Amino acid sequence: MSTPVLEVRGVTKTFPAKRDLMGRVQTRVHAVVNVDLEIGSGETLGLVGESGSGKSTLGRVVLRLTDPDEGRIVLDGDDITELKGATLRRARRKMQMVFQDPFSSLDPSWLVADIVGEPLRAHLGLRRSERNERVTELLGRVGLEPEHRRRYAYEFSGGQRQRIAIARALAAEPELVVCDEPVSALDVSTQAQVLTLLEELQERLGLSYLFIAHDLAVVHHVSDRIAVMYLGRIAESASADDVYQRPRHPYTAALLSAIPHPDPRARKERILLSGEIPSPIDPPSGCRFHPRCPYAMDVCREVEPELRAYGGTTVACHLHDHGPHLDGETVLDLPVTVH
Amino acid sequence: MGSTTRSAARSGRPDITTPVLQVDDLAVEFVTEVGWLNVIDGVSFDVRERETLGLIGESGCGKSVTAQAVMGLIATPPGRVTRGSIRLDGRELLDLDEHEMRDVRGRQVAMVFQEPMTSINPAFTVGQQITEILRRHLGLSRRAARERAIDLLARVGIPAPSQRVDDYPHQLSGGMRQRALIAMALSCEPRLLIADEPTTALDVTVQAQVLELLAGLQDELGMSVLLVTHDLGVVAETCDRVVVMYAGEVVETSEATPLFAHPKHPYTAALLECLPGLRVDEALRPIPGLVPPRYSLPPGCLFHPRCRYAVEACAAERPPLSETGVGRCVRCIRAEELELPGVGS
Repeated sequence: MSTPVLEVRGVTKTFPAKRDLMGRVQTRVHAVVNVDLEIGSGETLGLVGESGSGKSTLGRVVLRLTDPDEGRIVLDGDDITELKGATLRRARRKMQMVFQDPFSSLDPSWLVADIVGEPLRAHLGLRRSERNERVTELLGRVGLEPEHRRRYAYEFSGGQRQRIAIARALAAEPELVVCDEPVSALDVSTQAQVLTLLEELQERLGLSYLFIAHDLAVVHHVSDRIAVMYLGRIAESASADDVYQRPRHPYTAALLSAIPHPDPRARKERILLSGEIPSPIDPPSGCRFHPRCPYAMDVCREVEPELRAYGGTTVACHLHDHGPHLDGETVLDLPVTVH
Repeated sequence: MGSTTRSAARSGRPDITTPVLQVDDLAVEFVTEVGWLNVIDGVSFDVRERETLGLIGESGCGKSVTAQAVMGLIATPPGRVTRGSIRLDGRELLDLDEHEMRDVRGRQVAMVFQEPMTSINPAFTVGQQITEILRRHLGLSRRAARERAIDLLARVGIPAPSQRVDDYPHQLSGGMRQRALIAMALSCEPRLLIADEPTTALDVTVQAQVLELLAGLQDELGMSVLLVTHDLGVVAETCDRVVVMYAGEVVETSEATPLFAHPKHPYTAALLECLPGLRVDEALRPIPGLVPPRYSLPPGCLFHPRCRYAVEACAAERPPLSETGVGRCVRCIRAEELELPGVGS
């Protein structure tokens, strides 16, 4: 593979959770712990997990909206971890973002022309007359009309606002777009429109996406590879089809099983996870997933599993080396009937 | 510890003799800049004893307004019910005054909303909010109501209910808050539960837990559920029958299984084609355009401008909702001739 567009190496990010009277930090939230990721040119990496898994924090670290405690962010071969000021702004041109809520991520009092034109001014230094032409072109690209330029963001529906947000993200001609739950606030029909648009744009412009979402069906649809996060760590990463059809981590299997399938004839035995994601302030000992894991063994309570290659999958689970085997296969090799 | 499995298939067939809720030819108007506007027009459906009826459609199709009308929650102004009938166990709800309606609400019909943080009062503890309902509707003493509240919290799977009962809503997670809201809604064992997008704000794992909980409680209490949602996966997993709404009208009603396998209205089929993960290697097929606003409805069939199967005749006349089979109605002039793709076909 050629140089990846994005490399994330050993990134850890904690936040102070509680301070004492003197303002000294007493406890910390471990939002992201020692994460490695890589995204190739024109590739989509899906990042999934429940609320509180650290996926959005990781997205913000990648965009340098927040600084990691440890680790490196390498964009297009350049280490951007330490960049500040003007050099950081230049690097930012290559990566843009689309957020979940198009109602709060666009200033309702701005004209669409200014929202989409702002990156053209800030990053490319275009004059107003040049900007107008580019804005019209960008709006056309996301399926909006030239006359929408002179309207305010609040006049648009959720799906149209997300198109405006995408046009803004594309304005600076980025290589990487971080999409944080870009369709989860939308109706199924609008969701399909926006997903299709993102796919078309990728094909046409050779964009790479970091696609953060909690809906595995959506992520599987758009991604080439998927990384599954649980409590700040990567539990499993593999090709999208492998994750979807042959999950190697019990957490992935449970996530898949929880997706309601739109076929009443397929009402299924479901792996119901008990409880909710534990607090990242005081994560469970050993494997972070063990209190909710149907297969938990003694070793899982004591030793944190390392990420290890297993077939085409990288997975952090003791079952693969300490678990029971049947004819040389572990329990996770048994066929998982998703649908 | 760990996980449990339970068959999602529910026991027993619903009794089809007496509908718990009968909505007939319902129309609701809202006042807008251009005058009074019909938001839903001529909506009819039944919810039968112990069944779960799904009400589906995109945003702006009128599903939530329909649910609010049943709860008597359409505020006047800006809204008003202009026509039709809503009967609960045969009793006309539209004839009741606000005082009588307040007794029905919470006691016989209860509602769970999408956003657990906004539909729960942040200034009172979970226990205070449940005991108020119990004291008002069932006339329980303070102590009895508190005990019952703890009981209810335990029943909806909230751990350590005798401590949680004194928690304020912000101290609970999203999933726990939704459970508390369900406990509140079920406190008087209503005949009918209206759930408006009850799991949309939740993680998929927590959603599975909440749906499982609702199905279990429904069996236990023998209540009927009207589920309003845009999530077709949730509908397929939980509903016995489905009503599909488009632009303020019912366009298809059917039992759940045939609806998904063989949709008869192009809009129903189009919704199914928007779902990722159904046909894994195929592209999504978004529905072009948007639901038309009620002030600029197209002539003829309201869906025809977005319909892949539209012919000239579709623009001529508004098609009636016609019966095409047992328990199945479709509002499409081409319903008989079209072979629309469904799930698993």
